[in-house]
Amino acid sequence: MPLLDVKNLSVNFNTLEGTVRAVQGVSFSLKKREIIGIVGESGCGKSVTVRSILRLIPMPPGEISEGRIMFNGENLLALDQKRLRGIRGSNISMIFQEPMTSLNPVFTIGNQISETFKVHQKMNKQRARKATINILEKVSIPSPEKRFEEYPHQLSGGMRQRVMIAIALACQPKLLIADEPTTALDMTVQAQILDLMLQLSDQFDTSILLITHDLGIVAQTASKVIVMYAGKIIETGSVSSIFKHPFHPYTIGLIKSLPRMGLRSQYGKKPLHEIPGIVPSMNENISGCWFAPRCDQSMDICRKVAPLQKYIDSDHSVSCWLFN
Amino acid sequence: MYTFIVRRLLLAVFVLFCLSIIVFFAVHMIPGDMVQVMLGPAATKEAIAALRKSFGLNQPLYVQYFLWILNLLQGNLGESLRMGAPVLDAIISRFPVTLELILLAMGLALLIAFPIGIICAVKHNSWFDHLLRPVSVIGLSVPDFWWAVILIIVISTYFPQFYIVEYMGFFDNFAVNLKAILPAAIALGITMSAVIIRFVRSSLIEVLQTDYITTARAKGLSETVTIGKHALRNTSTDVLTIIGLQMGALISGAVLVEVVFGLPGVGRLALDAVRQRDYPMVQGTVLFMASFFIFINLLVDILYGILDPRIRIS
Amino acid sequence: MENLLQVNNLKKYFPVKRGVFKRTFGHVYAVDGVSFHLAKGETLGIVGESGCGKSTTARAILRLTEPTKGEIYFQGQNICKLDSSRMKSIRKKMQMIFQDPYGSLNPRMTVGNIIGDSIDIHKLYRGNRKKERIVYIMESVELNPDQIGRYPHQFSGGQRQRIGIARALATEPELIIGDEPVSALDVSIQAQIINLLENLQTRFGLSYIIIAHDMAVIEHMCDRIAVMYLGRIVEMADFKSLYGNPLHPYTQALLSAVPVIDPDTEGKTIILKGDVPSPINPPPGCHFHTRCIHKKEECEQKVPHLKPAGGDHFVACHFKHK
Ligand SMILES: Nc1ncnc2c1ncn2[C@@H]1O[C@H](COP(=O)(O)OP(=O)(O)OP(=O)(O)O)[C@@H](O)[C@H]1O
Ligand SMILES: Nc1ncnc2c1ncn2[C@@H]1O[C@H](COP(=O)(O)OP(=O)(O)OP(=O)(O)O)[C@@H](O)[C@H]1O
Ligand SMILES: [Mg+2]
Ligand SMILES: [Mg+2]
Repeated sequence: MPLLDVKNLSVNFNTLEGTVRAVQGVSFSLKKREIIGIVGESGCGKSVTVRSILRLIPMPPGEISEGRIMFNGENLLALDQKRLRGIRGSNISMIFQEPMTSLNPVFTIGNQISETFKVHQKMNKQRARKATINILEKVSIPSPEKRFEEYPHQLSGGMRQRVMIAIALACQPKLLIADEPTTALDMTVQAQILDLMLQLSDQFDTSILLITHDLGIVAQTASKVIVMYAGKIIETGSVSSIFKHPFHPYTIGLIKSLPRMGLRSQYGKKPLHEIPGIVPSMNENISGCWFAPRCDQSMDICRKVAPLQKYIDSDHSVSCWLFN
Repeated sequence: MYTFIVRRLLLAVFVLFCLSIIVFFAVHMIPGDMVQVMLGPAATKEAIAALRKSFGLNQPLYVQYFLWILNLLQGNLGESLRMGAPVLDAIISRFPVTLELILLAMGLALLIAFPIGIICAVKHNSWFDHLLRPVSVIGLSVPDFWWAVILIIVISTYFPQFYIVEYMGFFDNFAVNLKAILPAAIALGITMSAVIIRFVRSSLIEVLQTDYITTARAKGLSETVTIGKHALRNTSTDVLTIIGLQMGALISGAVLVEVVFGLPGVGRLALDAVRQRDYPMVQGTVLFMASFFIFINLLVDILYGILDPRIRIS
Repeated sequence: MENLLQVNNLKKYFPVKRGVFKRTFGHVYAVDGVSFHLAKGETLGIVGESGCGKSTTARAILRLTEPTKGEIYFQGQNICKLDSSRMKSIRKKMQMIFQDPYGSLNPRMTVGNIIGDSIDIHKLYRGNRKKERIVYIMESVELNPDQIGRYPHQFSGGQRQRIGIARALATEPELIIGDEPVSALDVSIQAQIINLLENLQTRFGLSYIIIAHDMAVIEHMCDRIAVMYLGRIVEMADFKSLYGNPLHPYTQALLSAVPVIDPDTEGKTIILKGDVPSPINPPPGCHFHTRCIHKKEECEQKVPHLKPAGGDHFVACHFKHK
C-alpha cells in the first residue's frame, strides 16, 4: 500500500474573474521512503496540489471539487478538523518557500518549535524546551540554547529555513512536503539545506514530496518526477527515465531549453531551445490538450479532446496524443 | 529600544514646544478681550487700561509669551484671570473626570470592537460581515455628541432612576459616579468602536493570509491558538497604533460630551475659559490635554516596541 | 580590442547610523575595491551570494548611486567627475534592465509611452520618426507593435521583460547592464529572453554586464565572469577557465553546488559551513576564511589581492588552490 495516494484531485478557486481551475484531475502515489519531485512552471498548480493534502488552501475562495487523498489508509479529505490537526505537523508536515515570512516575527524560535512538541506529544514546558534544543542541534544551528530565545529577524535566511525544517521534522513525520524550500536561498546555502533535508529524512524514514522549478534539484535528489502543466500532470516517471527519455513535447522542450553547464565549453555557443508562447491563463476554458497551442507537433485531435494518461512502461506515463 | 525611547522623548519635547507657541498665539487671536467682557460695554477707557495693566495684558505679546514659558518651565501655568486660583490646580481637580471618561470609553470600545472585528475577519464575506459594514459606517458618521443627546433623552425618559443630575467623585460615591459617567463613555465609545472594528477586521484579514499563519496551521495548531496566539499578537500592534491616534478624537469628543452630560471635566473647563476669554486657563487646558495626548502616544510607542521584537531588538 | 568600460578600485560604503542622534557608527562595505574592464561587444558576468554587492556595483557604474571611491572610465572618459548634464549624455549610452519587470515599469503608462519617454528624455526623435522608432524597437524585442497602447499589467512576465529591454534599447545604448534579467522568469520564458538578448547583442553591437545567480545561465551568456564575495572580486576569468579550472575555494564550492540535470552524474557537492558574514563588519584578512576548508593562519590577517594565475585568469587567494 502506498503511503500517500492522491486520486483524481481537482481544486477550483471561485474568483471575481471566474473559476480558476488550478488543479484538474491529478493522481499520483508515493511509497514509503520515496522522494518525489514535482516540477512545472509558475502557476501550474504545484503549491495548490500539495497544500490540498493538508487542506491548507483558503476555502473560500478555494474548493476541492473532486478527489480522494488516502494517507495510511485514511481519506484526508473526509477527516474531521480534529483528526486532521492531529496529522498536520506530526504525520505530515510542510516547509515553505519564503523563510523570511513563514515564521511568526513576534515569537521566539524556541516558542515556535516547542509548540509542535506541546501540541502533538503533550510535553510540558521543560520537556518541550529540551526536545527543541535537541532538534535545533540536529539541524546544525550553532549555540541552540542562545538561538532558542532569539526572534526570526535575528537569523539569516538559511538559518530560518533550518528552523522551519526543525519544526517540520520535530515529530519525525512520515511525509515531508517541501514547497520550493531553497528557491529563495543562495546557491551554497541551497546545497546546505538540501543536504540537511535529505540526511534527516533518511534518518527519520520520512518520504518527501519536493516541489521545485529547478530540474537539476529533482535530478539530484528525487527518485520519481511529476511534470505538471496548467493544472494537470502531463508526464510522470522515474528520474532516470524522464531525464533520459522524455516523451511529452513539453517535458522535452523544458529540458532542452535549460542552459547546461559545460555545454558551451564543449560544443560552442548555440541558441537555447525555445518553447514558443506563454502558459495559458487558468480561467480559460480550453478543450483538448492545454499545451497544444504551444506544441510544435500538435495534431487536429489535440485541440479537440484532452489526452488520457498512458503508461509507456510500468513507471513512466504520459498524457499526449502522440503516444495514444 | 533605549535609544528608541529617548528619541521619542526628545521628539515629544520638541512638539510640545512648537505647540506652546501655537496655543499661545492662537488664544490671543480669539476676537474680543477678557477685560471688555468683564467690565461690560459701559466701562471707561481708563478702567479698561488699568485692569489690563494689572493682568499684564499691556505688554507686547512676545514678552507675555516669554513670561508664560518661563513660569511654565517651573511648573506654574499661571493664575486663572477669572477664578483667581492657579490654573494647574483647577486642571488637576478636574482631570480625573476626563481621564475616567476617556479610559472607560476606550475600554468599552475595545470590548465591543475586538470580538466583532475578529468574527468579521474570520468569517469575512459572511452575512454577519456584510451586515456589519453599513452598521459601522453609521457608527463612524454619527458624531459622538449626537449619541450623547440621544442617550440623555433615552435615559431620562425610560430609565429615570439612572438619570443623575449631580455628579459625584469616583471615591465619594462610586455608584453615582458610574451612573453619571457611563452614558457619556458609551456615547464616546460607540464611534470609537466603529473605527476599531474596521481596523481589527482589516488587519486580521491581512495577517490571516500571511505565510506564518499557514505554518501555524500546518503545525497542527487549532484555529483558536492560530488566531488567538499567532494572529492576534500581530494584529494588536496594528491596533495599538490606531488607539494612540484615535486618542485625539477621543479627547476632542470628551469636551463636547462633558458639556452635554454636565460632567465637570477638563473639557468643560476649557470651554468655559474660552467663553470668558480666560487666556491662562485656555492655554493651560489645551497644553495639558496636548501633553496628555503626546504622553499616551509615547506609551503606545513603548508598548509597540515591547510587543514587536523587531523594534525592541535591532 | 578597445575597452568600452574600465573600472578601477571602485568602492561604495553605506553608513550605518545608530543611536539617539543617528551618528554614523560603521559602514556597510557593499563594494570594497572592485576593478575590471569590459571590451566592446563583450559580455561580463557577475555572480555571487545575495548581498555581496553585485547590484551596488552596477548602480555605481551608472552613477545611480555615487561611488565612495574609484574611477570609472567609459569610452576613455572618467565619468565620476562629470557634471549632471554631461552625465546625462553618457547615461543614454548605458542602460539597465532589472529583475522584476513589473516593479520597474510605470503601471499607468502604455508600452508606447514607456519606450517613447526614453526617447524624449534624450531628445532623439520627434513626431512621426519617434513613432516609427517605437515600432521598430518593439519589433526588435519581438513584441507585437499592435499592442503599443497596452499597459504593463496586460502582459505576461516574459513580455514585460521584453518591454524593459525595449525601454533600454530606445536610447541606442552601447552598454546594457542586466541585474538578474532572467531570474524571475520560468524556464521556458527564460530561454526566450536569453536568446533575445544574444540576438540584440550581435545586431546592435552591444556590450553586456549580466548579473545572475544561475551559474549555467552565466556560462551560456558570458565571455568573462567575475565572482564576488562580500564586496570583493575573488576570481575573474574567461568562461572556459573559470568553469573548467576554478581556482578560488569559493568558486569551487559555488560550481559544485549547482545541481546538474543529468541524474547519473553524481555531483560532488562541497557543502560550505556557516553563512555569509555581515558586510557591516566583514572578517579581517580574506573575507572567505570563516567558511574556507583550506584556511590557514595567513588568511585571517592578510587581504589577498586579485593576481594573475595564468593567461586571463585572476584569483584572490593566498594559496591558489587546485
Ligand atoms: N487564493 C487563490 N485565489 C485564486 N486563485 C488562486 C489562489 N491560489 C492559487 N490560485 C491560482 O491557482 C493556480 C495555481 O497556483 P499555484 O500556487 O499552485 O502555482 P504553483 O505551481 O505553485 O506556482 P509557483 O511556481 O509560482 O509557486 C494559479 O493560477 C493561481 O492563480
Ligand atoms: N541604500 C543602501 N543603504 C544601505 N545599505 C545598502 C544600500 N543598498 C545596498 N546596501 C547593502 O549593501 C550590500 C550589497 O547590496 P547589493 O544590493 O549590491 O547586493 P547584491 O549582490 O545585488 O544582492 P542580491 O543578490 O540580493 O541582489 C548589502 O548588504 C545591502 O544590505
Ligand atoms: Mg508555488
Ligand atoms: Mg541585487
